Amino acid sequence: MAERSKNGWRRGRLAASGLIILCTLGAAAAGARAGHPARQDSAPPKKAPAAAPAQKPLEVVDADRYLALVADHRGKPLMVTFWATWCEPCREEYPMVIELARQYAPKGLVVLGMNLDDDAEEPLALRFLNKTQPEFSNYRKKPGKEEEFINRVNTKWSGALPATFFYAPDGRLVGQIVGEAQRTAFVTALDQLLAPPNPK
Amino acid sequence: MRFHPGNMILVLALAAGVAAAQQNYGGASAIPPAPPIGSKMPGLKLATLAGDSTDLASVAGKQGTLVIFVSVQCPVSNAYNERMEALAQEWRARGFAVVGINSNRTESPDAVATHAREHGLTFTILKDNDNRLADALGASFTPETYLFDAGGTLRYHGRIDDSKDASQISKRDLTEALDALASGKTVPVAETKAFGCTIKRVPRA
Repeated sequence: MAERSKNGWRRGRLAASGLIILCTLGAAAAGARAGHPARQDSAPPKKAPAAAPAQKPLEVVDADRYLALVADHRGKPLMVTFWATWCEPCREEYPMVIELARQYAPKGLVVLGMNLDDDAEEPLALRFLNKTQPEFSNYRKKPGKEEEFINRVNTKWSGALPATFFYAPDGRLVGQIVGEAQRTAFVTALDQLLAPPNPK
Repeated sequence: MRFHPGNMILVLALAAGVAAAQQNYGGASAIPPAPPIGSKMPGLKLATLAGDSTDLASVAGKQGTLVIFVSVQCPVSNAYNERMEALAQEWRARGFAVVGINSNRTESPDAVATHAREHGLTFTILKDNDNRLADALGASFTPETYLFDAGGTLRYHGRIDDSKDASQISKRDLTEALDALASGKTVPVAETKAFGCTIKRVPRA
């Protein structure tokens, strides 16, 4: 077999994964958003079918809706990871975020992905999700009013990506990781987030 | 501003008066806070792309100095290439120096020079080794701008405009700040934010 270049391998696999998992992802995402547990038994990659069904777009959220989403998840510890296809470190860390979500799910952690791609870039975002197959819900920020959105998420955030925010079960924003970080930083954050509260 | 180690707790007082502790788990790449408007231009050593030592004072403009943290790879920074070059040409003629700063540990002086040549960027670009200037200015993403007046005082910090897509711009905050400085007026909006790629900082112990 001819040796494939790294890009060729990636593209070929992208095409295959992109086409097969569409329905599964759509169903899983809908189920996850409705509060059902994520599917654990995703089908192994198969040969791509001839026709590609339309990709389901992500729900678009503005600042109000984002804060409502966070409030909706009160009662559980929450981790929200902001990402964009133009942010290479975001793409690199995303599989780790998926793995952490899986690892900490039994401890009650809820994870949400917030995509920041523009309308024109949405197909790239969906392709990325099809390739990485997160088991948590992803939303897309409504384009425009960036600064207002950044400030309403966290006034201490400059808007730099990657950015992950940690919310306690009472809804408070209690921590962040902004910029490239090692897995240990996430583990430290999550272990603290999920630790029983100290008596004051 | 001093550099804060990755796991230092940031204690914040929210506007509502409720004290909240927001932990920065930034790990190896913690970003120090930016100095406030009115701060002085740092005098740290920087490097030319040829490897010579220099600093901002040496490249400052008579009317003011516009510092822009830039990147070779970041698609957002690259989306602003034409706009940054246009700004450089217009404001250079009006006595402002425009200086690009590359603080990314992953981007060598050669890569920066090649990129500038390929994209027709004629303004001075300096390397900020170990991201010292980025730390001193709390710079966190590219492109991020800092506008200093003739006296070296920070008058504007933030985005170039409000849209990565050049056809969707509705607010040109940096241009408004430059216009204000040039006509001796107050900068209308001195601090703004935008999404961008984080600066690739060196890991700290």
